[in-house]
Amino acid sequence: MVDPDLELVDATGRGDQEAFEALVVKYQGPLLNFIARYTGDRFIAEDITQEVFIRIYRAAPRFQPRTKVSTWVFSIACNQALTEMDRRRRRRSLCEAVSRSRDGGYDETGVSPAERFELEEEIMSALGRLPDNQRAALLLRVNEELSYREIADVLGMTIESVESLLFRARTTLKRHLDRK
Amino acid sequence: MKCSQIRRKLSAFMDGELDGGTSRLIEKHIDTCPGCREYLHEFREVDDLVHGLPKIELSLDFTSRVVSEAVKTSNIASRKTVTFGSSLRILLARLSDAVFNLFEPGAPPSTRTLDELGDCPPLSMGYIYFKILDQSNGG
Repeated sequence: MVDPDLELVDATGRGDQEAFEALVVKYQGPLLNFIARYTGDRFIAEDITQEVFIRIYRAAPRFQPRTKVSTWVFSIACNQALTEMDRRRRRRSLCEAVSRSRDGGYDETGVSPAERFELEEEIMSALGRLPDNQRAALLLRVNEELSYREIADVLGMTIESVESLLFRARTTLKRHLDRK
Repeated sequence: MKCSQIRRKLSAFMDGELDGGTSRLIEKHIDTCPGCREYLHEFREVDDLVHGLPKIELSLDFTSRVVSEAVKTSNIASRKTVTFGSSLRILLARLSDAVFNLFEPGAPPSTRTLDELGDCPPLSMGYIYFKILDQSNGG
C-alpha cells in the first residue's frame, strides 16, 4: 500500500509550502502530545515540535521512502526531544552544582506545579522515571498505535527489543501505580 | 507454559503482536488463571491511564508560525552556504596566490603598492611581511 503522506513529503522537498502546511496540520497534534509526555514538560513541547517541523522541512528533499513517513517523523521527534532533554539535564546538573556550592550542600526538593491534577501528575512522574527508550516505545504504542515493526524503525532496534521494552515499561508502571 | 512465561508475553498479546498459535495458548491460559487475568487487566489499566492523559492544545497561530519559520530558516541556511562557499573560494585563491608568489621571487613583478618590497632580499622576514601587507591591500 502506498503511504498517503509520501506525496506531501515529496512536494515539500520541491519547496511546495502548501504541502508542508498539510504535513504540519496532520502531525502537529500527535507530535506535540508525544513530545510533551516524552519530555514530561508541556511548556517546552511546542518549541521542540516547531524545531522538529523545521528539521522535517530541511530534510524533505533527501527523504528516502524506505520507511513510512510517520516513522520518519517520529524518529526526528525522538532525536530532537532526546537532544533537548540531554541539554536540560546538563543545565540542571550544572545549576544544582552551583546551588550546592552556594548553599553549602543544601539540596532543595522540587515542588510539583499546583495546577496539575494528582493522577495525571502520578502518571507523568511514573512515565518520567522510565528509561528514555521504554517511555518512547510505550507512548508510540499506546498513543500513536504504531506496530512493533514501526516502533523498531523509529528507535532503531529489533522487534524483539521493542517487545521487551514494552513489557518492562508496563510492568514498572503497573508496580508503581499499585503502590499508590 | 508457566504463569511467569505467559506474563512475559501478555504485553505483546494485548498489542496483537503474537502469532496465532501463541495467542490461542495465552487466551486459553487466562480463561483458567485468575492471576494472569488480573495481570492482563492491570496492563490494560496502565495503557488506559497513559492514553487518558489530557491532550495539549496548540497555540492558534502554531501552523502558520511553523511554516513561515521553516521557510525562513531554510532560506537563511541556503544563503549562508552560498556566502560561506564564495568567501572560502576567494580566501583560498588569495592564499594560494600569496604562497605561490612568496616562493617564486623571480616571478614578474606585480602592481606593487609598496616600494619597500624591492629593498628586502627574497624570502627574508621583511620581504614576507611586505608581501603579505601588499596582498591584504589588494595588490
